[in-house]
Amino acid sequence: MDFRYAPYALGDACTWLTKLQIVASRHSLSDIEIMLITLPYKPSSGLQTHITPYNYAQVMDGLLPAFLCCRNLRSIQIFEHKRKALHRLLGAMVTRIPTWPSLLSHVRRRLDFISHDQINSFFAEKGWIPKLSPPSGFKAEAERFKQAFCDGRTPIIVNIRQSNLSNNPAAVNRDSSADVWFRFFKRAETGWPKACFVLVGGFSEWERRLARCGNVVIPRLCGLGLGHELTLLLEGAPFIGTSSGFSAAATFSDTPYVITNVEHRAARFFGISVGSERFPFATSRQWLSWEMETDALIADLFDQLWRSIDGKG
Amino acid sequence: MSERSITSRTGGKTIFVTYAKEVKDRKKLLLKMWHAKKDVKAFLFSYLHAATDFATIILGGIWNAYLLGGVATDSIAVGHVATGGSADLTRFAVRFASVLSAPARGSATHIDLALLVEGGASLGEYVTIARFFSRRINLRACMNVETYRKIIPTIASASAAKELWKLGDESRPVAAVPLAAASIGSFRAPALYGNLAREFLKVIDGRKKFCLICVEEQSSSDAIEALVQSRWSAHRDWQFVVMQGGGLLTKIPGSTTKDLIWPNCAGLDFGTRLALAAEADATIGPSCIFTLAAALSGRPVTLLDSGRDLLDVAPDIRNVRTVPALDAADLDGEIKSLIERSDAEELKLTETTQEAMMPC
Repeated sequence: MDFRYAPYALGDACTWLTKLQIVASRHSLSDIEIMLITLPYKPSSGLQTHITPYNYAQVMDGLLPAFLCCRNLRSIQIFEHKRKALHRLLGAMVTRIPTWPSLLSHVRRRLDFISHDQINSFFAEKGWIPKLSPPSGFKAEAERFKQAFCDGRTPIIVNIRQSNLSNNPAAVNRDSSADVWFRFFKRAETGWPKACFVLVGGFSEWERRLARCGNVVIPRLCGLGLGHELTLLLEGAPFIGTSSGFSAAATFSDTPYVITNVEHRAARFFGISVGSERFPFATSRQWLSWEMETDALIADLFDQLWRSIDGKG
Repeated sequence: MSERSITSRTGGKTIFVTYAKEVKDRKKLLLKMWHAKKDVKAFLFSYLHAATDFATIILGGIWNAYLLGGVATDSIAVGHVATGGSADLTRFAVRFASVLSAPARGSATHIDLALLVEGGASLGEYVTIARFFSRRINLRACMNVETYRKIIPTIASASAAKELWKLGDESRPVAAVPLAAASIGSFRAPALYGNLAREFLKVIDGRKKFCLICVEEQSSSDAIEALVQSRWSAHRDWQFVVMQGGGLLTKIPGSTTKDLIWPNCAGLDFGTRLALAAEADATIGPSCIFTLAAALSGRPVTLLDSGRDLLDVAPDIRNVRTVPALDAADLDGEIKSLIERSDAEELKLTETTQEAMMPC
């Protein structure tokens, strides 16, 4: 993935990884090598102008655990030196190894990082898709976190998109209302007392009142980060939350989920119609909701999710 | 202007309607042509990019392969078996500092970092540590020895690769890693991490000094709280920052007052916590990655003896003092002495703690 034209984003990284695994599967390759190019003189595309030569390394470090969510990962390489990256690309050209994106797409700087076309067609052909797996290196702490904070309750991963609270707000029309989620958490205290809501996402992207809810725990308040959150999610803790990066990770996993507030405009990229109950490759415990959240709607959706997992996760 | 409004305004004179239609159609056509032109331009440019990029890949790749023969001086190859945990991160940082502080390596702008990652190791933490040495990173993280062996020839010349080869074969290092005086000052927070750490301390109180107390990963937060709160009242000009070795706090502290600060609860990522260690005015604790960060940044550090087997501190390092494990009363005296050292050595720090602006 070359960040001169690809975005630094969790959702796009998950989609990209799934497509990469599909290429590996189509060519019956057992091992995957990930190559990330972050060149200091052009660290980001025009879509993310806030990422500059002075901060791209930190953005990359923050996103790195997402690229480890791949079962057959043999190596991961990050290049900040163009000559070294060219050497590796030349190697790939000479050995003609299958890549995603293809070398021609790469040099044309054309990367389809949004659409599900390739994924849907693979599913139509084979009846399954390669799934994401928990990133290595975070399992022990994630387990300790569950034991220490969930207190025997069932952990439910929640992500409320609140880009408007971050330093670099983007596509705030996709954000959810914190008020309705707050009311839902309050309602859940009595409605689902065995549920423990693990609020994931950027540290700036939650309102302080949520930290005071008795049934909400925030991993980043306990010293954990993206890698731990993805581990909890991809280990199978059910997910409910806004259509965003974490929902994309759940989409390409077997984790039971409900994705709320799915953007209507995104339907054509997903290859489904607005109002579809689920993605073509989803399991029977994975749902989409296309409406703007209300606390009653979230409660209904959560009840559906809770019943599907039998309250156990 | 719509067709209907024209018609109503002109009393049904069709000539204007026709004119409006024509204008509309022409506008549509122009828009289509503009889009088509844009698409054609983008299409042609993408192939122009492709042609130049293919040529660049071939020439640049061959040039790099030629330089691997031993001429290249702009990068250093460093290898490590990443086993995870605070002790291994500490060993990694010390080795890194020692390799980079060698006089011959000063001109290198890039580091070719080869990691053999084992089960529980968190790759991101190793990369973040490497970024604190003011060089650009080319990372090759391999999940097994076979891949590691295949990758080495693409990283380093035959002579430089010798040490990297060994890593894949040998058992894990167990001896204490020597910390040399030349390494002090080599650890510098990249801009964003450093800024966040400084801002964090400024928000608490920009005028005060901060003492970082590092505690074992296993320590319970209650015990830490009791230990530190009994001491802060004796040093009113200072504030105390408690940092646990691992990231996870097993219990949110009952009190996070301005006098007793828990960065782990503040959503600071690993890099910012490292920068915080490098920014704190004094540090005390067992050998771990955070005390090491403070030591390598030139800050006054008191190493408690429990980590003696991890680091072998050279006697000529002046900012690090190693003491035996202490009981509560001695610890109070040691903190007092550390604070005095910090006040005395403040001016000297200007030589070593300047943050690095990354070369572009």
